Amino acid sequence: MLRFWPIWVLLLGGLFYWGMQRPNPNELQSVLVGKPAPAFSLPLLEPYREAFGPEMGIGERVEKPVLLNIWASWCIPCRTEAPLLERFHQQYKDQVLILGVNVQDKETDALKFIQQYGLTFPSVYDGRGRIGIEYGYYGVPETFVIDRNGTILARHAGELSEAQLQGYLRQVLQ
Amino acid sequence: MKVEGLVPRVQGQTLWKQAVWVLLLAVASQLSAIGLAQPAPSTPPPDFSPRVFEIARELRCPVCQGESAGESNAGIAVEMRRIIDEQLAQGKTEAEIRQFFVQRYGDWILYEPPARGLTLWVWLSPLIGLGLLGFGLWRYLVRVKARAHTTASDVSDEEIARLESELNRTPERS
Amino acid sequence: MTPGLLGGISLLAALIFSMVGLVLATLAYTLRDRRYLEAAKRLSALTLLAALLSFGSLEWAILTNDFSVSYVANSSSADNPLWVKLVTPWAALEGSILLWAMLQAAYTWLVSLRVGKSLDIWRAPVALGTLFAVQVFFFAVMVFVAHPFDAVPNPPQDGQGTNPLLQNHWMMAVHPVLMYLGFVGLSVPFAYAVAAMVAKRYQSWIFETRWWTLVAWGFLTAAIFTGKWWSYEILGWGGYWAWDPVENASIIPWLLATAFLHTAQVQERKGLFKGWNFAFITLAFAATVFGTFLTRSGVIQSVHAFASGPVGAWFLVFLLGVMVVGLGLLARVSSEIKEAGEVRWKSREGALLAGALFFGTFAFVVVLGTLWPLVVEAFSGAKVSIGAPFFNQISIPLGIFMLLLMGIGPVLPWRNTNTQVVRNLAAMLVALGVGTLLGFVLGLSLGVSLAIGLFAYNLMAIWLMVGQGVRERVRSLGISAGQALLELAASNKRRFGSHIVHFGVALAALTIAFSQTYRVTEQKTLNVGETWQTRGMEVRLLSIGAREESNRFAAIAPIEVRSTSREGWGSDGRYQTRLNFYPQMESPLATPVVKYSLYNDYYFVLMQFDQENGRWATLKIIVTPMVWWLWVAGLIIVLGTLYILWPSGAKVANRQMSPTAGD
Repeated sequence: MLRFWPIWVLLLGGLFYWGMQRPNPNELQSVLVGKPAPAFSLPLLEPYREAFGPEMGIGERVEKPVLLNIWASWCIPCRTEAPLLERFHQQYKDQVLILGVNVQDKETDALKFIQQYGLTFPSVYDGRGRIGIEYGYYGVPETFVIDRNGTILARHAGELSEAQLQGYLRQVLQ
Repeated sequence: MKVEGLVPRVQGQTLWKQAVWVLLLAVASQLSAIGLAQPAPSTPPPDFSPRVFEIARELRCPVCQGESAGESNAGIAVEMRRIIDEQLAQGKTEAEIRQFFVQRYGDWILYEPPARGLTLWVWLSPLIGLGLLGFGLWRYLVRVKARAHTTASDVSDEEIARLESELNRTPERS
Repeated sequence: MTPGLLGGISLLAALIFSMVGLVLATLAYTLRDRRYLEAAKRLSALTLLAALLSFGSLEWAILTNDFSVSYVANSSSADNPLWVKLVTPWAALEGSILLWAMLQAAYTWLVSLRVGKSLDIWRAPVALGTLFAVQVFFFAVMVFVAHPFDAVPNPPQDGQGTNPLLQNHWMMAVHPVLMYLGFVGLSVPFAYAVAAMVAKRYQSWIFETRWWTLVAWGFLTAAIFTGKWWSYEILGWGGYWAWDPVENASIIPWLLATAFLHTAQVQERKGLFKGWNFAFITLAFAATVFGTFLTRSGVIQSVHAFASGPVGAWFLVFLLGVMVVGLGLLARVSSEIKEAGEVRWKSREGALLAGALFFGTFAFVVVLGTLWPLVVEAFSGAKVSIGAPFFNQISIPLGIFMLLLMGIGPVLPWRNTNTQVVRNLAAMLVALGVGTLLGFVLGLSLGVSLAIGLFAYNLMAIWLMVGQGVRERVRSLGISAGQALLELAASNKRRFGSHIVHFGVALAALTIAFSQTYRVTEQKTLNVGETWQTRGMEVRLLSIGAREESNRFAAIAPIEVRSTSREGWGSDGRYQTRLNFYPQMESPLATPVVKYSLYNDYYFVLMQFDQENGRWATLKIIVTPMVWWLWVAGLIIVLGTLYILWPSGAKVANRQMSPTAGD
């Protein structure tokens, strides 16, 4: 065994080098990709009730592709992501539903956040993050891309860039 | 329990401001016994039995840096304990509860890796380690014993090698 | 002169001195000239001075709130209490490397004092050179990538504050220093091993190296126990060992050093096992670097990780360098060593080798378990977690074997067994059986019963050995039993000290079995004035209050506890459970109140409270048996180590310092 010591050292070094090169070591693949999106229905936050009714969620069937965005008012990346989502919502609202899920938050803080960024896409309130756990979230923001058949195509952890969001939209609108 | 610095994805809640507010409240409540008109949005967490913590301790807190759901104070860990509590009340077994989380997060959520596939090797590691080291030790002892029966020389090869190498070197100056 | 400038200059000076020292040691080796060696000795003292000056500057900057120094601006605050400021140097990355480097310089200087004594002209340059090389690395890391004294152009009014986890308990003042003393201490055995391998003197290095290793081992043990203590009293989950990768990284060198301390005795007595001992020491030192790499590279998720950065790559290169030097030399040496001898399994050396086998296996398991998530991800892309439930289960069989061997080993003689030994072993087995049975009778679980049995078994072993030694002395010298005991203890300190250490280990195993099996956690929300009957206690929430302190804000919920049955015995008292809010932290830190008693520990944590009206508070109670005894066990182990190391008389000193004994 000792005779092969250079191999052992190289293997260990290679493993660690690879480990350090990972862009995001904490990234976790979702086990739900390719599976039907978990169904839920939650009360909408107050500003959206007039337009969308008292509750919203993912049912057995979805009418159009959904971008499910898990957010919280205390989350800093959400603040830069929110205007981007709003812009895309204005542009694609006929083709795609952008649905926010506000988790681990106080309702008053969430409402302030919505007002501040003038968000018109609907958000449901999930104060304790139960639906977040149903979807296997491990931080905010997190976005699930759900196609017309209600299947999860991808999970994006962290802030979305404009290009990434474009990419997901193209994928889901094909 | 990681201190949040400039982490792109924020994983805890700002309670600091609220806490300062409580301080003010504590002072205020001494001045007047009248409670605040605002309804209490935060409700106390449920009471948890020891079983809940036992099961939670085997599960990983998804947003933490290596803490279990039994230890962490993060909102998601609290919610996981609540889920465990509810499912215990429904009469589910520990295995079923674990399965619930595995279906959403994958095997990653389990602190005890499953004894199959690639993680089977970890479970075998004591035997592998004992086998490798034991084999090495056995071979060494056999070799040493064989040599004890054959060598008769007073000066070992090792000493001859050393003396030769030292003689070849520059003599000492001082 | 500002502290930042002085610190920066002395840091650079320390790096240059270390490099010059390395060059001088190399010259001393290649030219075999004593003058260069003398100069290298002097350089080690100069480096230590420069390092002390640099460290002192950091303390100076922190104490005077000089926020123009980057480290102070990033990791300190003017509001911190004095003791927090004093320990701030090791609260973040750069300062901890500075502490490390300073301790390294101190060890190098101590080793330089051995030149001309145990270190001859063949070995001294190599040993010193190795240590200088290690030092060059640490100072270079600071000078090039983790400089604590970077100037901040626009100094802020206040710093960003110290990691709250570290300012929550005074143990943080002690634990990291002990850990570094242990980690750095293992560089000395490594240097001796390298020197021995290069100079091809394979036998004599073991005598003094054993001593150095025991020093480092003692510090590591103390560090591991204080770390457990800190974890228990701060992290608020009622445990003391979570098998976090960083905790694993501290136990790996400890296990390997323990293996070495046992096999070294075989080499001392029989001249066998030379290659194995080189390997154990090389790997133990490599394991300390491995641990440092893990904490500072972010490769593996851990609670204890420092912020990652370019430092990780440096440590990786260093780790590989250490392994290449150590294993490369070892591979060359192993073909040259031609040992001859015979080992009987039914003798003390047999038990020592078997013990080393288990320590080695344990280290292998911990290394593999720590690395495996990374390996799995590399091969399959999937993420897995390997944590406490796995390691706890694996430790049980390994621990049982080790405890069995720990009892047998010292009882067995070096040579053949005789009837006396057989009788002793029989008595120990009886103790094992009786202890286990007692556990069953008391209704305890299988594991805990077995732990009682193993404790009794080890206790019996120590009792028989000491008792027989005392009786022999009383009979042959005609002295009293007490005096005989004292003489016995003084006559063979290594053996007697090892009895103390082994007793501590047996006690630790017993307490770990109890506390891991019978820990109970419960949580309940109480209204102010409400009482909670649980686990033989009556817990009453008295009020909810708040307090502002200089560095934090605290919500305090005083509770009153009365014991109502034997289960809650010793829990009585009034306790201030609290949640601490630190400005630099997103979520509050629950600091438990711990009430120790001779059997159960009561652990009260304020989890949550009514922030609107202050009407209710959620309390977590953890009851764990025997944790207090774990700290006692740790103390016994450290005291036993100290007893072995404590210098006494010329006899021991002679043996350690004789430079060529056995060569």
